[in-house]
Formats: sequence, C-alpha cells, structure tokens
Amino acid sequence: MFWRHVVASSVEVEGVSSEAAGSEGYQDEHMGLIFEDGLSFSGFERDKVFFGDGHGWFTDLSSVSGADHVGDGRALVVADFDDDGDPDVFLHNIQRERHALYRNDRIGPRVQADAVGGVAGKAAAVPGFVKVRVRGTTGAPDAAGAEVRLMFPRDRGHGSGVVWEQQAQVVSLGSGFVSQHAPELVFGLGPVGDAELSVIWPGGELEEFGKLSAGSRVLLVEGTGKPQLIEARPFVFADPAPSGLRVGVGETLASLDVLDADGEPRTLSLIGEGETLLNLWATTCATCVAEIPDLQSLDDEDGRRVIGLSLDHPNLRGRAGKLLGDRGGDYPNWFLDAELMGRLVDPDRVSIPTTLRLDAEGRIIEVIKGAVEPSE
Amino acid sequence: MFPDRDAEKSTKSGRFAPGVTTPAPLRALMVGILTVAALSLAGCGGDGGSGEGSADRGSSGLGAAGVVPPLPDRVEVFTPDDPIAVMDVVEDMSEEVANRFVALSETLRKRHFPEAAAFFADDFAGHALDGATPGKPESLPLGVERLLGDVAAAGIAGRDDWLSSLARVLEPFGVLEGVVLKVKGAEFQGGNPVRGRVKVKAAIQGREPDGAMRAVTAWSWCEVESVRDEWMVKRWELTSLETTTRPAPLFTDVAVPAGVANKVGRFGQDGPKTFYWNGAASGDFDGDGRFDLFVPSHGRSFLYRNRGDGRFDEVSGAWGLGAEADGTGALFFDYDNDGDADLFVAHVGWTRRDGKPGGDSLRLYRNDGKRFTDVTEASGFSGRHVAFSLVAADYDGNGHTDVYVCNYNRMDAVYPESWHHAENGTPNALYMNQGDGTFMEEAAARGAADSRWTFAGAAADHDADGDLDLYLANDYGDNAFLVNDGTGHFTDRAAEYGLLDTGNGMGAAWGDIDNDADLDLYVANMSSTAGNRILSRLLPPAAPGVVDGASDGESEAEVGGKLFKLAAGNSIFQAKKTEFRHKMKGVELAKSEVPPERPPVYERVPGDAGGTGAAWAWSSAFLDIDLDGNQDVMVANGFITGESAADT
Repeated sequence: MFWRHVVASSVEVEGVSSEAAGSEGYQDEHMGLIFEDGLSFSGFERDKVFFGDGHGWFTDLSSVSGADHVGDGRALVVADFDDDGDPDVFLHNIQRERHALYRNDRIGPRVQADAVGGVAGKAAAVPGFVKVRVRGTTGAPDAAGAEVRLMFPRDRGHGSGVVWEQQAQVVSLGSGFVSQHAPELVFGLGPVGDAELSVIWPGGELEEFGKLSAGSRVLLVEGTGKPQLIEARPFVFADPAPSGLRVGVGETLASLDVLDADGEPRTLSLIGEGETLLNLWATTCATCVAEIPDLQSLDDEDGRRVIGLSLDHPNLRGRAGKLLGDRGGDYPNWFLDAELMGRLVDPDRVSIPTTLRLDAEGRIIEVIKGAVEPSE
Repeated sequence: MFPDRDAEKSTKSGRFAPGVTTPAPLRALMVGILTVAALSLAGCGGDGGSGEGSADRGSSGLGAAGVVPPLPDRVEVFTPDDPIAVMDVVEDMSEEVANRFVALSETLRKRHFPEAAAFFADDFAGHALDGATPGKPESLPLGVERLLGDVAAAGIAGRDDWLSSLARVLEPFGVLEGVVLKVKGAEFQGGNPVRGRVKVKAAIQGREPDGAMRAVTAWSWCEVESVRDEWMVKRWELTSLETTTRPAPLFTDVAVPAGVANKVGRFGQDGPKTFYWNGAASGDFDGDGRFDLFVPSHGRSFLYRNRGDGRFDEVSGAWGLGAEADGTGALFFDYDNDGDADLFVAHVGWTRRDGKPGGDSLRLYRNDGKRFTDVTEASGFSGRHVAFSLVAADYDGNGHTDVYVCNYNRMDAVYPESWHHAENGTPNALYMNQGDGTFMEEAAARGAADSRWTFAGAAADHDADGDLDLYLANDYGDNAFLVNDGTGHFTDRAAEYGLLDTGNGMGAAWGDIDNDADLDLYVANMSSTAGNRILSRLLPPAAPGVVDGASDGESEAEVGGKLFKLAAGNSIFQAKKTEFRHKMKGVELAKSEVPPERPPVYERVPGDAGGTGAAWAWSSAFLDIDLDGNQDVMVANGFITGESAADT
C-alpha cells in the first residue's frame, strides 16, 4: 500500500487509482491497518551482520550470527561491556522484547576452536586486539572526532608477505541513528602481536603513541606521547536460560497433564523411586528420532525411567508411537496439545530434543539440550 | 527417467521414499532419515484418504489420493505472454499471493505439513528441495560453511513427495527460528483460472539440537493459480539453493541474565503508540571505567549501571532521572569539562499555534558524582525541537563540546511534501557551547539549519583539515554533507562530493572499510521488497548517475530513478585519498601535508560488493566483530512488525 502511494503521488502512472495519491486518507487507512488490524509494514526483518574483508567487500553472515534480531530495531550501540576484548552490542527495538544485549563470543569461555575459523585439527589462535580511550587536553576532553590510527603488520596470504596496514577509527559522540557507542575504540589485530598507534586530534595535530602489544587497553592523553595502560578487568555475562523452556532447574514438576494417543487427558505423577527423564521430541526432528535407542538404554537403569513427550501435530500422533516401536523405544510416550505444551515450553522457541532430568521428588535437576549421552 | 509414480503410490511403505529421483551419493546419506520424513507426512494423504488427517486437509483436499496426475518431465514456470498491466489489479493480486505465502510459511515453521498441503494444487509438481546434489562446501570467514546446491540435479516431485523433501530440509533443525517465503516479484496472466508467475525467496533459519547455527536460502519461480478465490501453488521451479552453517553463534543475547531485558506490548496496541523512536547511549557515568547504558523509552527511561560482575543495575531513580521519559536520542558527554559524563536527552517538542510550547524540550543533566541534576533551563535548552539523533563535537574549536540536534517533523501532524525531495521538516539546531555552562542555538547563522527531515548524522574530520564535518541522513530525499570552514560555519557540499545519496536516509557512520587510514561512509537507507516489486513493474530502471544529480524541474525518468533509489538499500562510499596511501608507513602525517585543495574523492561501492541489502535499515555501526583487523558492519532494521506478517 505504501509503495503504491509513493509511486502514485510522485509520477503519473496508468492504472494507479487517484485515491492512492492523496495523503491524509491514505495515512489514516494505512495506520489503521497497522494499529487496529495488526498488519505489518516491512516487519519481521532481521537485523544484518556483514563481515568485511578489509578491501571494501562484505559477506552477509546474519543468519548464523545469533544477532539478527527479528524485532523492529532502532538504536544499536557498540561497547565492550565485559572488557574481554571483543565488541558487544546493545540493541533497542520499538516493541515487544525491546532490549537485547549481544555478548560477542569471539573471545571468552564460549569460544570453540572449530567455531572461530581455526584450521581443522588445530586450535584457532585467539585474535589480538587493542582497546583505546582518548582524552583531549588542548581542546574538549571528550575529543570527539579524534581519529585513532592503528598500524599493524598482516599477511593476507596472497604470497605478498607481511605488509603494514593502517586502520582509522573515529571517536564519536553520536552516530548511526539515535545511538552513541561507548567512548572506546576496539581494534582487531588478527593473529599478529603488536601494533603502532597515532592520533589526529580534533584540531588536526598528529601525535604518535608508539608500539603496543596485543591485549593492551590504553588511555591516550593528548600531548603525552605515551599510552597509559588500563588494567584489564574482564568478567563473564552468564548464558541465558535455555530458550523456549518455561520451567527451569530447581522447579518441581510433581505431576503433568498430558494426552494419550487418542487425545484423552491423563495426569502423570512424576514422583517415583528414582530419576525421571522427560524427553521433549517430535517425529519431524532427525536427532530426536536418532536418540530413541539411547534413551531406551537409559530406561530402568538404577530405577531411572524415561518418558517421551511428543510435540507433534495431532495428525502425527499415531506415527509417533509406531516410530518409537520401530526404533526399539518401549518407554511410555505421551502427547501435549497447544495448551498443555504452553505450560512447559514456548513451542515456537524450544529446541528439540530437550530432556529434563528430574529427581525422585519431581524436581528438575538438569536440562539436557540436544541428544542425551547413552548408557555405557 | 522417473519412476512410475502411480505404482509407488499404491504401496504405503514405499510411497515416500523413492518418490524423488535422488542422485546416488545423496541417496545413501538420506537412507537413515527417509523413513522419518515419510512418517512425518502421514497426514498428507498417504493413508489412501482414510484415517487421521482427513479433516485437516481443507477444501483443496487430498481426498482423491491415488488419482494424482502424472508428473511433467520438467518443471518450468510459464511466462505470461500478455501480463495484466493495471497496477492496482496486479498489486492487489501480488499482495494476496504474498500473504498466501506468509500463511504457508507459518505452517512450515511449525512443521504442520498436513496443513501446508492445502496450499498446493492437486497436480502440483516441483523440484525436490533436497534433490540438488550438494557441491563442495565453500569455507567462509569465521568457520562458516556454505553449500551450494546443484539445482540442475534436483528431481521432480508431486505435492506429497515435494513436502517430504522440504521436511528433510527442515529435519536438522532443533528449533526453527524463521521460515519466510517472500514474494519478490509477480506478474499475472488473465483467463480462467488467473495464473501468476511469482519469484519467491525462501529463508529458513534456526539452530541444530547441539546449538549449531543453520540457514537455508532458496530462490524459486512459482506458478500460482486462483482456484475458488484462493491462490494455489501449482509449480515450484528451484533456481538456487544454499545452506549455511556455523558450529556456534557469534553472539548470544544475554539481556535476561545481565538484567537489561525489557518487554512491552505490541506497537500501537498495548505497547508504544507514537512514532517517536527511542535510542540508546553508552558511557561511563559513574566513573568506574566500565561502560553503562542510558536507554530513553516510552513512558520512562532506563539507566543501567554496569556492576562489573555480569549484571547491570537499573538506577534511573537513584540518579535523579525518575521523571525523565519519552526521550528519543541521548548522549553522554562532558559539557562542562569537569571530567565526568553528563547526560543530554532529545525529545519531541513543538510550538503550538497559540505560541505555547508543546511536547518536551531537550534536557541536559549535569553529573554531580552521585546523581544527575537537571540544568536544562540554566543552560539554554528550553527550546522545542522534533529532535531525534544528537551529534556532539567541538565544531568551532573553542575547547568546549557543542551539540548538533537532528530534527525531523511531527509524523502525526505533518506530511512530507514529497517522497524524494521534502524540505518541510523542522530546521536542525546547533547549540554552541559558550564555555560557561550555557549554549546558544546558532544553526541558521552557521549554515547548518537543514530542514529536510533529518533523522541522524555523523561527525568526522573527513579532509584532515583540523575541523569536524557533519554528514546528515535526511529521510525524504537528498542528504547533506556540512563541511566546516574551521570556525564552525558550514557549507553543504554533498552534491560536490557525490554524497547526496537520495533516498530514505536513516543513519550514518564513518569507518575505514579498506584499511587505508581514511574514513569511508556508511549510509543507512531502506530496501523494500514491495517497493522494488512495484517500481520494477511500473518504471524503467534509471540510468546510472541520475539518482545522485538532483535538480528542479526534473523529468519523470529522473523522478523514477529517485524512487528506485528509495527502495534500493544502503550505501557505502569509499574515500580515495591517494596522498594518504603512500605515506602510511614511517612517514609522519600532519595536517599541513594534506593539501586542502585535494580533499578525498568518494566512490559509491558497487552493490555486488555486499553489505548494503539491509531492508528497512535504521542504526548502523562499524565494528570488528571477529577482531581480524577488518571492519564489519551491523545494521538494525525493520519498521513495524504486526500480529500478522501480512504486509501493508
């Protein structure tokens, strides 16, 4: 509707109704569709994460970044909140889940060698970085507009050997859209060890600050020519709870309302003599089906029992039982309709398989994401 | 070439598995999971029309299982020889079809294949989605792998087998975060039934059960036909298929454990009701060396103090900001040069017809160490502006930081006079810091009172002449590049530099994309599926160069070119400063060495270099996410997401 209006009110085009060109009537109708009827206007657009190659080319890796929020983003702020050396991001959306804080896992306890581009079989080198804060003395102390230049050697692997590159970053007080990044510049160094820093201060004077080793956090005070080291004080932002679960470790599930294969309601007692493994699964999930024998191997061991909870569409309930049998699973399997499922999980977000480990009292003692480890 | 379909349909157990011609190597891989997929589709009619699922099949029905027509030898979507030309009719149909694909997407995301079947014609035929032999994986940065499918090798499947092939594509996902079938183009042929040729982009993404990231993108031509007022998919011609994986995400949203999560209702309903967008600012207001956040918001604000232990405390009340509400942009900066971070907040305000102030003024809060004190009146900020972004710097070089205020207009009361050259915004403001705790608004006298619906700006000394220049992103038309003469007086030289970037400017950022030590420019605009669909149907593409040369009395072709630019996406301008390059290593660089008569030349980075397709973009930022020494870009986007993904 919007674009029809844009065209109709800008150029004459055959077949475009004249009403579309009017402004007020159009706007009222358009806003009505959004506010009252709940329609979208360029909605469900995922934020973008583009990786640069240092030559002006970018690769869109949004969909595997973990930071492509589907909400309606406005402000986006970059800061190394946890002081671990890689830049984190705070996002402000206009509605629903408004604030997201993206912990960058390039450096930190979550890093896996195979997840950061390391050559197979070798641990990936932790990349070097330099973090820079500035303070002006001849001008304003914030030194907005100061340009920090970092010169560092790198081998781009084209047989040209090591060459020096120089990257400029500017200290900004406000950029992007309604956003202000933290007044600290984070420079990545790749796998190299050191770098040289210079600053062009807001008045235009160039000042050299000399060599720095990777991992340095420094304050550059105008006129001193020497970086002041800032002590590293990294900390760890904890992982979020498993996405999509509405119950967590420590909560007690003494009983559970379920449906049988015919859709008849039942109430299960989850208090028993040993542990209970509640396995959330569906026939449409390959890993879930593959782990049925492993779940079976855990059943009845030390009084432990396994209970399957199928999240399948009602049409597939018959198949769930058959599939279990075919794969050698003879533990009981029950079903959840939308309402019962909603008490345990957010069906749009829960990742399956997920298995809840309960003690004999029905208290959740572990949430196992992904496949279980089979019994030896 | 293809197995006898009808023969296979007759046996229940063999019905799904061999239905698609699958290249041998892949077939071997799939053996383990085929059974699962087959069973998952039981409701699609595999039981000969009896038993479970019949009721869910909808009017299109699969009741006549077993009378499926033979499959065609090839899947090729027709091209209308006499496409319907009346825009309103075509666009109504396009919207209907687009919304039909939205509904189909939702059934697929829930893996409710029996319901999905109701979107397909009984005689549907399409390229099996998992039939394309995977080529060699391509290694991308950061451990990302991409597999390009060999579309030519894809087998042909009828409806149920085609859905089985889709089920297999979805099987590796533990959670499906998105299945989006977007109509990128459509044309229609009259007749009975009316038929359409539709370009569809499928974007599927989510996580594998072990947390690995996975995404599948496919482009296709689909043939749709209108049956009893409902659009049914009849053909699915796959043109590309790629799968992208990474063993783990790069980012994890820790808002909840960090104590900064905030949830409200839907925009326009139980959630925020105005178009006055809220921002975010990071600074160290308590002086402990850690970065905190101020988040202006509807009805209140959030002052998040970074405790340094993984949590933030919300301390707006304790710091004297309990009454601060509805701010748009915000900035921490040291306005009084006392070494701490003061807080400046933009609001939407206006002067009423009776001369009285409406809305709210800008607000300046002085940091007194333990709390903020409102010094708005004393500092001279009581004027009203429709203010969004703020860009502070010492523009006149007097040693005190000034504030540039990007002003828009009241979206609820004023309409832009044009979509591509509106000048009826409110003038931007430039508050010059007098050094005594007060500011004077001097935008008009300093050549900085642009009134073209400015959303945002970014400051840098782009020509290294010792003063700060300002790039402005204007919403309805040309952007401004305010070049400083050294005294805080500005001239808009955007045209001269080729930086007009006509479009819906939303944001701007300076960064160095090519490690040559000069600053390049990222400008956020929007790219729109609907816009491109409509424009490409109505207007011939503009010749290159038309877009950037605005003038009065422009021709329709020129206007058309600008409209295309409105929907074309973000822009990257690469600075070419050759005199900088050969002085990079070992040669001192001072301002006197940069000839002022040779300012940088900006070249638009071509679209195929990537980084510009970001939908309806807002804030953009340069950052080196992976610390490899190359600047990356992140872009926040999306306008308004409703209850329904159906687009207006």
